[in-house]
Amino acid sequence: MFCIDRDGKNKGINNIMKKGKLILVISIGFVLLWTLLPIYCLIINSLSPISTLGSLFPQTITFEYYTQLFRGSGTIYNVVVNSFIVSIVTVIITILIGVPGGYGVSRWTKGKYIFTGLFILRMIPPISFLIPWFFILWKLNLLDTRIGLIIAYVRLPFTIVLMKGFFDSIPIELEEAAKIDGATFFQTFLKIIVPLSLNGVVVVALFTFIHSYFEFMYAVVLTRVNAKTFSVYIAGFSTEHGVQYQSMLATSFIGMIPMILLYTFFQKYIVSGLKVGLDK
Amino acid sequence: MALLCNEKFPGAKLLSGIILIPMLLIPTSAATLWQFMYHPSLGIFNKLLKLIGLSGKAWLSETSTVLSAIIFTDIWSWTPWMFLILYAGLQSLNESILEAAKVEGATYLQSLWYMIIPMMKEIIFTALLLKGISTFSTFGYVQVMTQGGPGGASHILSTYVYKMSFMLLDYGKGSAYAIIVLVLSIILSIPIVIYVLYRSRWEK
Repeated sequence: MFCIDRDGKNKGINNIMKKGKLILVISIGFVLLWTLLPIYCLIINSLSPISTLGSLFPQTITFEYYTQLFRGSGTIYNVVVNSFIVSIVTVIITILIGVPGGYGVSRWTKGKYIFTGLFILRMIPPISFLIPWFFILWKLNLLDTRIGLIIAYVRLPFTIVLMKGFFDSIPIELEEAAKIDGATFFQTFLKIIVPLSLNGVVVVALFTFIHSYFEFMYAVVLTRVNAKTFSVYIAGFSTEHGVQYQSMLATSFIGMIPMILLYTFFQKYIVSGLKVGLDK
Repeated sequence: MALLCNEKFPGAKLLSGIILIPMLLIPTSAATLWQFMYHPSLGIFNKLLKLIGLSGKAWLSETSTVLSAIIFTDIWSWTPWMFLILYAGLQSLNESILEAAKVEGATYLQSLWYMIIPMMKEIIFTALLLKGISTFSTFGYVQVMTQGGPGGASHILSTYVYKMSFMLLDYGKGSAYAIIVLVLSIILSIPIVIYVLYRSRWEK
């Protein structure tokens, strides 16, 4: 495919070209099927009434399950608000602590040892810290509150490791120049370092947002009723007495909308963040 | 997949946009959605199998298929991330080398095997590493889809810790398992940390 497509204008390799095109079409078809089949299922079944649930093609379309979510008791307003507040506050706290932290680790001569420790911390699966968090928040009376969830969600090791990578790429001469010009330490940090690493800050903010928006394990343990987020709410539709599939699929679709918006606006940051995250 | 989207054909950008859709779905939704698709009478897989004339299966309630079903779901939702990583890697490759290989008469498969894969070795390695670490801590899919069942056939470390401590309320045993996870992951991460910290020294 690689060579064939770019040599497309050359004559004489028509036969190979046809074969290449065929492979190309087949692989595109496979990719589309792989990605879109579940999404198709999601949309179709969230729109179909209970009698035709699970049919391959929609016969009747109803928006009942979408309107149901916004009416009466047990609406999803509370869930939406929880999800957003938890995610956004987590992002703010993470940035406020993590960015200066990453700067410190990057510039301090002994920061390397701290970095090693943080790196190991980052490798540990979150399940190991679940029970300690549960007891800490229990004793502090913060179970089932947004604040409790936020405290558990602030992931400093991840932020500091990622930010260090960004700060390492800023030459130290810039800071020295600023010092000679008479800038104080905080002026240097706020007016030179932070603007230069703004890209990294956005990346960290995005990843933290996605993480806290998607997180399920902590949310299901640390919340009961009041502080439910989307993940827990969606999982709540599947009970021992069966699953309310349509409501669940409709909620899933609504929960997807913020991510779609986020992704369309910040696409390039996600890609660049992955690149840097891989380097470190 | 990433290779496909690096090609220049009309609609490549649109396709790469479509590939990313699973990433936008909340993982719990993905889990319940797939649970629905595996449903013995309503699920789409069994319907499709029926169209071909095969009889379906209760994918999630048979010990032989439950793990593969969950793994399949996990792969589906991880495809976009892997795609993004490898795509970013592919785009940073030096194209002139590939052009040169083409001039020398290398076929596509040859240049893939001898040039692209070796050049992307490090990226592929880190991508696998990343996936490995996060798979170790998978929780949501198993918990939502089967809760470790049937008969504990799909329990993984993290769901087991959850069941021990928050359903059977045996915090001591749960913590013990959590410590085992902790120790295991630290042991696993030591070579990775050494690799990351000393990589630059080796390269010089």
